[in-house]
Amino acid sequence: MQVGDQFAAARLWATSQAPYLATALFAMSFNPAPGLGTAGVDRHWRLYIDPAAADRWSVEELGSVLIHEVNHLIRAHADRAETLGVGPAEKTRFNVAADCEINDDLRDLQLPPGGVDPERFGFEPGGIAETYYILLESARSPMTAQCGSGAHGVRQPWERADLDDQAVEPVEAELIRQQLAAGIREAVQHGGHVPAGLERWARAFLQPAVDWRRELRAQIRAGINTVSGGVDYSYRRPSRRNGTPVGRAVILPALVQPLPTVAVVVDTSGSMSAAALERALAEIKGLLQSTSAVHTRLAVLACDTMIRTTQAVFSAAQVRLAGGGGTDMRVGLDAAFELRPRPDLVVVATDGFTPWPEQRPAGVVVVALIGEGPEPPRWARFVRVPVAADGAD
Amino acid sequence: MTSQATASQALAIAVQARQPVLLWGGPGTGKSAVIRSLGASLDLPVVTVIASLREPADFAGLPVVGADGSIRLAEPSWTRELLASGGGILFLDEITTAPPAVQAALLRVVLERVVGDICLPPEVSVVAAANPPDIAAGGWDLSPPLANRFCHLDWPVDTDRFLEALTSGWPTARLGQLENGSASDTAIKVKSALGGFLRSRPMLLYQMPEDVTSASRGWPSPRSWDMAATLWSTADALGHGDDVVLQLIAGCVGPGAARELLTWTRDADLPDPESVLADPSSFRLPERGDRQFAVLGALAAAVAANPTKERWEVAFQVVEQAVARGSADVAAVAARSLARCMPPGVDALPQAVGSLAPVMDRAGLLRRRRG
Repeated sequence: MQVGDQFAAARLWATSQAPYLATALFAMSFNPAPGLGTAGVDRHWRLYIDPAAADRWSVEELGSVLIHEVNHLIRAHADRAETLGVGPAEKTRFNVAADCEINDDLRDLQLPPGGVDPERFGFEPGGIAETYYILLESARSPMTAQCGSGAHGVRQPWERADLDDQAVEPVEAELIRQQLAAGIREAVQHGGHVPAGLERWARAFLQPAVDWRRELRAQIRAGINTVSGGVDYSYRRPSRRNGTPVGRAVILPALVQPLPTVAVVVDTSGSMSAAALERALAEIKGLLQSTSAVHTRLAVLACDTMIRTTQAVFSAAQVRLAGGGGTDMRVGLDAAFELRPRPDLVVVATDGFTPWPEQRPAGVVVVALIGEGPEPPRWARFVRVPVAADGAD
Repeated sequence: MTSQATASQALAIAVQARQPVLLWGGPGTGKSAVIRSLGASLDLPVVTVIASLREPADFAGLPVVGADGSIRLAEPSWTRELLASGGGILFLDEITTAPPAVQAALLRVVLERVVGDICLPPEVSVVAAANPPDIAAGGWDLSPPLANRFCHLDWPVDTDRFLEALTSGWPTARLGQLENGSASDTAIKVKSALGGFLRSRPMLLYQMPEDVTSASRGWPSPRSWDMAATLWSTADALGHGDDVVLQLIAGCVGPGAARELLTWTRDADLPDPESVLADPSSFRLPERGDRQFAVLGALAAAVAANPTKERWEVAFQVVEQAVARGSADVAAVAARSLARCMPPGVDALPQAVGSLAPVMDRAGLLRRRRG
């Protein structure tokens, strides 16, 4: 039997299993690689298959292997390995980590026996290669993987750079990914079945996740600036240089730094995730201490359906989550804006399951929205804080 | 992944096209060095102004009281060299650490080259550099209006390039000469492609991101699309590859919109299914499998929209061509879609299907239909 025919049948089987991957599967070019023992891909989407291995596998098994290999290419494992600085010594470890990322999505397929998955090393499934790569550093069991430079970025001796006409250039690859991601989004919208990991990939590719820490920092900083102008130039007050010779001819602005007042309202109802709250508070605290707001006056309010504590000091340990009970942020925000001096900026940490004031409050409100709860009203800026620890990536 | 070589190519094009460009990179990664060497190789003076050390008046003009009591905006001293030489590169360093009022004052300088009451010569190119706000202590995010005036380029750390630069200096980007007329030819081509794309995706004309992080980079607006078109046609006229073009367009309108545009133009290059159906003999199948798949898919969709016996049989001729070229699997996918829209008056599947039967059988696709 011709290995080329076997390959065509396997690829056809693969497109019938995963129609949303068809473009990527057909973009791979096929090269027989006797002696390789398995299948592999290089960075330019050239696929290598050992005819002996193809003979050993059924059409379904080879088709599953094709889907596995194309996943390396779609998820750009070569570029990601390069970012981590993976060299010849680490390539197998990264390859295994990448295999773990892919294979927990392919359980419905018929991969040949001997493949790895996260459970084999005692890891949680659903993670990303970078996480597994770090975890695998201390793994004892021997690791073998041979998926080529398309999986770990390190060029292999059996890869053929001379086949220029087959190469998919990096830009082409990006465009193929774009098309795939759009196709997957559409398939999901029409109720099609797409593995969860691939769906996550498509969402992240089309709309890259923003680091919530960075976004929260930016929002609070912007809030402080809107309020007070931050450190800024102003003609309201004469410049100190006005007495100098230059100052007689030129009208100079002065540097002003009004002190903004910030209040933090923490939702302490039972529905809050303690770990996520802790991380959000640590971030808010760190930010308020480190940015221009060194001299910020700060008040902290703990609130569920009523105000529990008001304090001028800030420590996550002081915030105790009261079990059970609902939340009413109307009470919390009212209380915050009744403080004297009245705060210019109110930062709210909540899961969003709360009624909000109908009117825009008399100051800027930034919400650290913990988890997947409903969005606050449009007058508030908000940043989603993921509950899962690695959710920021 | 962006490489420094691509980024410096893109930078050189933006400077030559006189579009404002902003380099993002950590401190000490050689941003200033590359701009100075680019100025030297283009024979342009480089005037460096550190935005974070300046006051708004240094960009908006210093209000000066004249003898008659009128107030005029005096131009700062850094404009002198650019005015005297009639051109050059204005290099604004550290603009994200500049306070918001300074950023606001920069708005007119960056896009219109207006400083106070004077206008810098049109031959001045504006290049800015910034450290990402999470690196720079006390940095401010770029305000969305200012961000939208730049083509944003990432400036990565590149070990190989640095080692090369140690011995032989910073390599300068390949600079091309614009031939007369070539730029306007490509400009027409680019603008019609962009027009077609935005007509089919009107939502993408204006999309200001909701999060501050993305809004401080490139995002789609009529202005940034216009910049993207200029940069794209300049890059095309200079004969640069897709990687540089993608980088430049992504720098103006963001990576998502840029990829969608290039995917769209790539598909627009495929043969029109109706003309293939009208004249199948002149049709040549593309080389790569994914392009074959796209062409045959479009063909099957066109037949399904208007299934007549004649069109259906012509489509199978093309499928046969794919089988002959050794792409049985691609052909089989198309044949399956065509088989689903069999027009009235056809009683048997064409010859081509017979040659596809083995591969479909082995893939388990025939068995399933029988069972």
